Amino acid sequence: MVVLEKNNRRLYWSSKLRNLTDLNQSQAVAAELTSIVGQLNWDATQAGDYCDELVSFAQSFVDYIVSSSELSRKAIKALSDALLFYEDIKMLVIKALLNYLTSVNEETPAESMLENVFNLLREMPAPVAKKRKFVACYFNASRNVGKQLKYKQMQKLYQTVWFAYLKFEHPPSVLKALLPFLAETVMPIVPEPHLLVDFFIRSSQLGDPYSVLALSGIFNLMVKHNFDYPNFYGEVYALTKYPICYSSHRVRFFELLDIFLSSTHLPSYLVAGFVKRLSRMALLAPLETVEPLLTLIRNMLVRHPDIQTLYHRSEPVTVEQDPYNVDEPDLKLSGALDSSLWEIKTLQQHWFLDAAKRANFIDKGMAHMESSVRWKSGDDIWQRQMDKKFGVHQEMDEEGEGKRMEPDQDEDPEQEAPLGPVPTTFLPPKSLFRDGAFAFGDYWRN
Amino acid sequence: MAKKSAKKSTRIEKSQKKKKEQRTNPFELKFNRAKHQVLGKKTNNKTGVPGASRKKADDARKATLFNEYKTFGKVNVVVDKRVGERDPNLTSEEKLAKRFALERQRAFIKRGQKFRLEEPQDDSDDGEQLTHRGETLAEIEKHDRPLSEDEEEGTNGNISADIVARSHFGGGPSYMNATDNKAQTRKDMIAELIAKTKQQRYDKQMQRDEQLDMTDKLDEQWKQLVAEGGLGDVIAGRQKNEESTAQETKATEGYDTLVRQLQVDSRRVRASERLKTPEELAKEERDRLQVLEKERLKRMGADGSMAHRSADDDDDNMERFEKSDFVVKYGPDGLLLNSEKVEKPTVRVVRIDNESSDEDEEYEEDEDEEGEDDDDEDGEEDDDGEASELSGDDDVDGHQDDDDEDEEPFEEIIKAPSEKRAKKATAAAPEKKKEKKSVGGGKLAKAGNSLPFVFDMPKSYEVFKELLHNRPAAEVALITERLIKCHHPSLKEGNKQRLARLFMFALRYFDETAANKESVDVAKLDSLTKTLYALLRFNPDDGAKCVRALLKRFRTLAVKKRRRIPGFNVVAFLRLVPTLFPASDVWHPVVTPCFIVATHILSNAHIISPRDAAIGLLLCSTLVEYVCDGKRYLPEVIAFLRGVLLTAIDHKEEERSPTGTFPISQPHRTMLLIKQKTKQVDVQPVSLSEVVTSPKSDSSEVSEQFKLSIIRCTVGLVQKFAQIYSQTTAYGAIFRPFEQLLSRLPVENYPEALAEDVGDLRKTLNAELSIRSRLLQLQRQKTQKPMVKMLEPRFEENFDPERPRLNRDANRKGKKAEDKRMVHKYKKELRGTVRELRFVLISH
Repeated sequence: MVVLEKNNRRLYWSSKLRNLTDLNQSQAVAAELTSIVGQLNWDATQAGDYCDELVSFAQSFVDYIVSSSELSRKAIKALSDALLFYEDIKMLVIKALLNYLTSVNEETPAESMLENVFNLLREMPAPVAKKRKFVACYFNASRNVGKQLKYKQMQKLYQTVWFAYLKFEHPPSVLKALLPFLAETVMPIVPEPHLLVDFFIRSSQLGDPYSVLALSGIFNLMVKHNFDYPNFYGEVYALTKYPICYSSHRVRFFELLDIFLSSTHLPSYLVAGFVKRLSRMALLAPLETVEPLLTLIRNMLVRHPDIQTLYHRSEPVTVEQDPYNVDEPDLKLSGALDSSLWEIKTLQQHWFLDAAKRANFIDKGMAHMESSVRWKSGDDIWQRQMDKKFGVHQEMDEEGEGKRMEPDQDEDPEQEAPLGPVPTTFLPPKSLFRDGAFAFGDYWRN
Repeated sequence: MAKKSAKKSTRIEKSQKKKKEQRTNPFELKFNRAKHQVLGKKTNNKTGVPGASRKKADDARKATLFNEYKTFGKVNVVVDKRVGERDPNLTSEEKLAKRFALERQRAFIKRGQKFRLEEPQDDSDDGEQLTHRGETLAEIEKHDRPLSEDEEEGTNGNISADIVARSHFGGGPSYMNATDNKAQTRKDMIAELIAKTKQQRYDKQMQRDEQLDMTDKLDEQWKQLVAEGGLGDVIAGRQKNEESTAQETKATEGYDTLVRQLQVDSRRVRASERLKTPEELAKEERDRLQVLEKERLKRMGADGSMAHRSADDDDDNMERFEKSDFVVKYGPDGLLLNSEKVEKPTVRVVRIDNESSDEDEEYEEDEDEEGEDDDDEDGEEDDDGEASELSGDDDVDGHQDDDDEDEEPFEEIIKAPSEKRAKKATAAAPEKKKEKKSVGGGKLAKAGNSLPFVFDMPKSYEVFKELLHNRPAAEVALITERLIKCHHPSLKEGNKQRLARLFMFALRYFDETAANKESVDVAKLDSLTKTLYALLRFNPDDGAKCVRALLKRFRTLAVKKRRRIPGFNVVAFLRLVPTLFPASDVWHPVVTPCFIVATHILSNAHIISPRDAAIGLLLCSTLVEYVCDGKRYLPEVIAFLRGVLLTAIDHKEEERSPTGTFPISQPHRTMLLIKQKTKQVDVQPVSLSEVVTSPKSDSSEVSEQFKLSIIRCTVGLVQKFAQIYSQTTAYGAIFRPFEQLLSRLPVENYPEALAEDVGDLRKTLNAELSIRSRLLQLQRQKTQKPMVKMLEPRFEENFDPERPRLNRDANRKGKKAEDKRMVHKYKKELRGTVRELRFVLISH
């Protein structure tokens, strides 16, 4: 009878969850749950029923999360905010989830399941030591819930469920978010973070965006948990390639690179190699990347005074060709320390005035302070250019007026466009295409 | 006491004596008291009469001292110039005879010359001439001042002089004679008088009218003659006329009046600058271009020092357009500034076919409106007195004479010379002044034979498009050219705005033409480019705004579909911009955003087919135009070219293009790879129409020839950029990878010409690399530290301890300071003296 009762309750809750249409209704579910639990009499004999109620809810909750395919991250967040706020429910849900994950045998389960579970784990409040809240608790019976609610046990449980989850092969969309989340949020909580290394190393071999993200996790381990990872910088160096400048995760990459190279105790050949590689990249970088890249290089030079020989030598030597070899994977052999930053000199001729000015640091004395690396989006740059006044009446485009950005502080004061009418060419054109410097007719015809 | 009385007694004695002689009033006698009595001295003065003695003294002085004074310092000889006086051979009688002869000679001088001021004009004698303002009076007399009508008539409203003389002062008998001894009433007499006066006046009027008519006639003839071929004919004609006696007087009269008129006119017309020789014009043009080039280079300056006065030649042109001191300017509200200087536009409409009447009315209405506007404005803006002053006499005269003359400077510029000639021809035979004239006469291109000369300004884009639709490029050019001419800003108020609108239409039409997916009409785009350039010069600011608006649209599109390569129209537009605006400026409101859009496309659009690559390459060749002058570095283009070259090479998946926009999977990864031998293929330039018209196809469908031409284009671009960036320090870093890529091209499969191209490029690159790779390690420029200012003691020569600041203070030296000091001293002394005197007065 009890079993039947249990199944009934499960069915009841799962149907309840399944019928959720609005995100606000999750609050109602939570209220109902607490009211049901509250109605139960405080009695040792009834402890079983009371626990069963919560357990059956937790199981139906996990079922719901795992099976439904179109659950958004928002919906899961709303649910977990309403329900997993209570420590006892959360513990029971984790337990149920763990049961489920261990029962899955296949290597690559459904993507939606992995995504939902990740979202749940991500949105679930991390275990906390104090100020915890419960739906109900009692301590005297053998089947009590409270006994297992100690913080350390919670941590352990959290770790176990994460590891159970990490054994699967994750889809790219999940993996991209998962790697930074593990490195930043999970790693400080779990009691044995070094166990995550396997996962990081495995994903670092996956290729471009993942390797960087995985490396950031490894770097965290190295810094905080004294983890030894030989040739870490060699791997980072191998990842620092031209296409990064054009990829969408360039901001993240260069931020991480900045962090990797933040130590002042790094050998100068290493930093010099990176700086040279970065300046080579800047030679082919798109507009949005050039300026931050230049700032990054400048910061490196400020941070590591040893490599200031790259832009200033008291006794310069003429070299037959650039001693730096881009294609050399070994930083020690790259010859960067004997080189100079001629690339930055070239970038002083960059077509975009701001970028060209940014490259002028090479001619000045080095600053004493690093400056923050500003990533401007293409829209920002565009808007700023379009906002500049021009013409006799110095009129602005109507659309530009509202969106004027506050000027950067360390930037040179915004240069105003010259007064007077817009300059035009003074030789009338003869033809659209054939009239220029490029021998157009040799390579194009109608 | 005793002494005094004694004196008195002697005085009384004397006075008594005089009383007897002159009976002078003793109270009038005055005595000068002698200070010292000198013994034995005789006084010859009359005593007691000071006036007499004074007179005596005066006379004595006049006789002696005054004469002496008058001849003081004078050394002179009196020469006797009487006739024959100095000839000792002549006897006195002969002398007298000679003098008599001269006397008689003088008597023969005419009576009228008796009162002449100047001497009779002998040969030897150059008599003095009276002048007024440097001109002799005789000349001034000749100088005939044009008489106003009032002056000319003289008797206007008055009774003529002889009548007055007769009636007022005539006297009885003559009066009786004139009236046939009949006694007339006074009333009759007056009536007669009035009638006579009227008759006289009428006669005079008739005479003047006749003269005026004749002058007019002659004017017309003159004009005709000028139109036919200069003044030479006139003279010839005159000579011919002289032979025929009947016409003679008339012709000479006409000629005289003409000469007179010309004299009068010449005084009214201000002298203009002489015509310039072609060499001078060429030199001027060269100078102008030099100045502009200098400005451009300044704006190009890499240090960001932007010229604050832009090198806009438009101003220059304006000056040339308006030779006089008038510039077409519009206020912020779109109304013409100092419009009072503008000639009222003469409306010229050509009747085309039959639809003219409506048009005319419209124009006239416009004119009326405009007139009102003008008036309004006059009221508003008369406060700048200078302008209204300037539009004083001269302009009024201009109005009187001819309406079209003053407009000519404007039209001259926008019209070809041949047209001007045509216009003259039409002007030669005018029937009425207000006749409709042809504006754009002559220059008829073959294409334009059927085109009307005057077009209405299209009110909407649809109308404009209709106008140009389905017309060949030459006609499009002609139509737009005529549109611009007909609506030149100087012709009518508001035309500037109309032209700005026209620029917008033309730009839109340009875009639409380029966006045509069926064909590429490069000729049409060319002519539209010229049109846009011509239009932009009138109002560069508005033009820039239009261009920016279109650019904004392209940018939104490029951001929205950032993985898609844009159409040909975007590239054509980006190519258009550097023909209109200087691309070498370090910052330019139009060109810089264009840079942003172009590089955004290159770095974001995914190249999935050779066609996409072709468009990308077209964009690269467009960007050559942007950077070839300033040699600004374009990372995106370099990266793109490397990507394209990589697709022409059999490479592994790990090897990625720098941009990451090229496909990574087979077969697209090597879409430009030539696998078979294609020795016999003739590599043509890339066909634009093929690029534009072909649907977005797979690489599999693309012919080998197309691939080869793309590769050829890439090689050409690499060469061009290697040339542009040959001076950069990082030449090796930029172009060594290209050399490596080129060496991996499957040249053995290429046709010989292309293989040769690749080989040549490799050779030049290698040569350049070996030179340019030699680099000096960087060293920061040492900035010279400014010297610390040394503080040395200052020694003063001629130091005066009493006046220690004398040498240090410049104001204390020199004549001025000396004068000041003296004035000060004088004042001080004066004050002291006054005080002393006052003290003395008080104390006494």
